[in-house]
Amino acid sequence: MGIKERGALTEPMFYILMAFWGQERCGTEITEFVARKTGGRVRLGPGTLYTLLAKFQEEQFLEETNVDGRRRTYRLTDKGRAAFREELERLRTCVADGEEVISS
Amino acid sequence: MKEERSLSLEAEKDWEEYKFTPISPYDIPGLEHWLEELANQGLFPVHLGMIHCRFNHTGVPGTRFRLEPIDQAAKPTPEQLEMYAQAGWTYVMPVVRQSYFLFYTTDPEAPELYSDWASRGMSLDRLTRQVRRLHIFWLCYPLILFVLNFLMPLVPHSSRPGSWLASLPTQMPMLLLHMFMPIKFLLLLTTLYVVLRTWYNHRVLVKIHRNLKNGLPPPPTRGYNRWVWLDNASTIPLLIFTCLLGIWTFKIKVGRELKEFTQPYVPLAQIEQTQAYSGGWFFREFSLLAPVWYQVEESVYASAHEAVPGEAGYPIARMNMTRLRLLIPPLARGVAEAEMARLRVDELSYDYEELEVPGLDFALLARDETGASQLATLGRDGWVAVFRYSGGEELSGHLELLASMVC
Repeated sequence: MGIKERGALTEPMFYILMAFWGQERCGTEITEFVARKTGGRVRLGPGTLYTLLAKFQEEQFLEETNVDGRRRTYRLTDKGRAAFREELERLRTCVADGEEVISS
Repeated sequence: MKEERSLSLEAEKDWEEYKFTPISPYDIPGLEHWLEELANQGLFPVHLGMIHCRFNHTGVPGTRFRLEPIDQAAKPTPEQLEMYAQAGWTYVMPVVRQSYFLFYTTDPEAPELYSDWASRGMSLDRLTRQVRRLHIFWLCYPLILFVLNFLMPLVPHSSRPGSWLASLPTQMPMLLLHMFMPIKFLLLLTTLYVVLRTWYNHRVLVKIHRNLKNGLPPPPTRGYNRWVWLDNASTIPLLIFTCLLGIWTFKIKVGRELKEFTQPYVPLAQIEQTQAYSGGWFFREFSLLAPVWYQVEESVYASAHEAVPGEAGYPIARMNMTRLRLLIPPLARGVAEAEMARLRVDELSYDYEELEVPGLDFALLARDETGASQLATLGRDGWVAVFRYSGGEELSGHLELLASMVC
């Protein structure tokens, strides 16, 4: 599902996908990653994280790799990587448009 | 003394309070706020249903409650419990007919479960779809109910395929009487009310869901709703009333032997002018539009043995009579023709004759093409009598006797 059908990713969604780039993680590690990466600007409530992880699995952006009691580990799929790149490109376009307006 | 006080406090904590749910089950912020208000009064939910709730006295002021829509599993996954517990939220139980998981926290520093409205909206996707399906079902249900409860009873006893459809316009007045039978009328009113209530609940949830999905906070809700409280509080009395009404309806509708009957009817012996043995049944109906409504089936036999109900015997003559008193007299002619259409044998054609009888609003006679059965209907001031006769006599020769049923 492309960005036009799905709509743009929200900030929490973007950072969650970012957290999985290049490595597998479990849910609890994501909260720390996002808080550290954004300097506390973006906070993930447990409900937000749980809902978005379920949503990404449903959309096949993430796949489960391991279950260890209460800890589940996920990794990004190709579809998830494509969605992240697409969103990144969209944000770059937004930034470029904004800078162009400011500089002119 | 100290031990007594401790035991007393423990007993008080165990003692439960019952309350009727005063808020729509899909007004999530309203429900959460109501639980928090009750927690401030020292109450903690033990059971939270669509109609009633139970609380014990272990509530802690300042407790926050959150309702998490149930996804698919009957209880939260270990992963969800772990994530929520790490944030300071404790799971209580599934609530509102397995629609939500209830979580609570007494820690004022615990972060909210959702850090943005959009993800909160996503969590309601499945519930919104379920409620929409329920809403569509309840919109269709009155139609199904209408067909099963009102149209099916009007199917003639002997009908060619599709012929009852053709006779439906004639049966409309009788349909009206059926709709106003107390139990059916109550069922109809209840169904319409449930349709309205489902529509209201659906609307509440859809508004909340739409706002959240657009990244906006949920719209302000009514919270405590007196009508929701009344609706829930009246459920049990209404159920009891419906059961009693159903029992009463069943009792009056059950056929009984004619010898127990005390209401006026035309005994077949007076038409046949014979001392032959007779037996039969009577059946009562009741409609708010027809407070007097009964049917009598009587047969005359050659021997006493054959006249015993249940015994196999071939009758010399047979009479079916339906007598009604209508509270809306203009309906009389239509009801009479509908009942006449119901009693006729579909495979036969009938010759009809309308008579001018002084003192009567209408008088119709009919005879089937074989001459085996005759139909008659008379009406006056809202009274209607319909007869189907099989025998050797002519009904036209006994009009005065038949007219006594409508005078």
